[in-house]
Amino acid sequence: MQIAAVSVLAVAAVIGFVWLGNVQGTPPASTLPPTIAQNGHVRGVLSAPVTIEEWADFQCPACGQFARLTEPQLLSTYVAKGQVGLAFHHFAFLGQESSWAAEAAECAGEQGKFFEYHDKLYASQAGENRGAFSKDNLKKLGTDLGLASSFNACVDSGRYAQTVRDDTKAGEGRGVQATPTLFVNGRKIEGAATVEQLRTIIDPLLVGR
Amino acid sequence: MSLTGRHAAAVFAAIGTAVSAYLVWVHYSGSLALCIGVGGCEAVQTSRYAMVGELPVAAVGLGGFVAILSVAVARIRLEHPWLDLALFGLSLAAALYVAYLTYIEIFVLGAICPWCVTAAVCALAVFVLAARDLLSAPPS
Repeated sequence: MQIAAVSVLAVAAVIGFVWLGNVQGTPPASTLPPTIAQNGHVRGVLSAPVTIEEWADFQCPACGQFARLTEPQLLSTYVAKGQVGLAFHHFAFLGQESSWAAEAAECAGEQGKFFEYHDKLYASQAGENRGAFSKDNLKKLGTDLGLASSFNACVDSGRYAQTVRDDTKAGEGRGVQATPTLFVNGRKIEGAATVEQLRTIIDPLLVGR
Repeated sequence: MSLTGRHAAAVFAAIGTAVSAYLVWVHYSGSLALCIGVGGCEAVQTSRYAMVGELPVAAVGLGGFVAILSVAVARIRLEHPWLDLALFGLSLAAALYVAYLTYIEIFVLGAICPWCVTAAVCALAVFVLAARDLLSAPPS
């Protein structure tokens, strides 16, 4: 009897943890503060004293971590003050769904929602090449963002496939081998850098500016 | 359970505690877990399943293993049926939860984190030892 009661309690506790883990909202990625300019794949301005070029793959978990945890702090701390410009580049190397996701982000960019879609993709990561970024799911994400129906046609057309390949090739040319890779005023940093790690690089570059 | 079995349960709980503590440190330091020989730590560690509310799953695991370790160590010195029952309940919850997390790793994320597997094996081992002890005990 006691064993049964303890077992029921244990099962209830596990169900509680599983439920808690599933109902939590996925933290919003780098939602753009209203004071930050957005132009194409750039947040802030590239004439800022410090520029950060990011090469990333939408299926890469570390890129998702960087987008969800580091970018919001970078945006509010540096980009909003005009001290840092943040440019995004595709490095779609993890498989077909990486390419489709990058192409879909380009399609969203046609309607001025590249970064909204970028955030949506990172919030929707669920394994690599397991259907999370199938074309149907990518279209659904577009619908969720209120993108016009031309977005679906764009996703189907594959017209940005070459753009994504070119971006990835450019990254290879810069020596990108892993994602995310950042270049802070040209200095290469691999991995999901924290804002504290970036601060030690950015702040000295801002001295006297 | 023999004294050896009781010690073994405490040792598995201690290993689970150490692994969970390492993963909590990894989470809060923003580092990536050492993934020797096998990929997948990063995928698991940064997935949306790595959090329970505001807490990293590793912290939940650490809390669970500390509780299990406390009871397991107490059982080495004390003979009390409630301790056996407590260890059984805690380790059952831990075993079920790691089974769920392992399912997520394999079938949802398609990635395996060796640290998580180590913690899962420890939780299962403690459960097996605790269940064997509880079921083989003479009725009081």
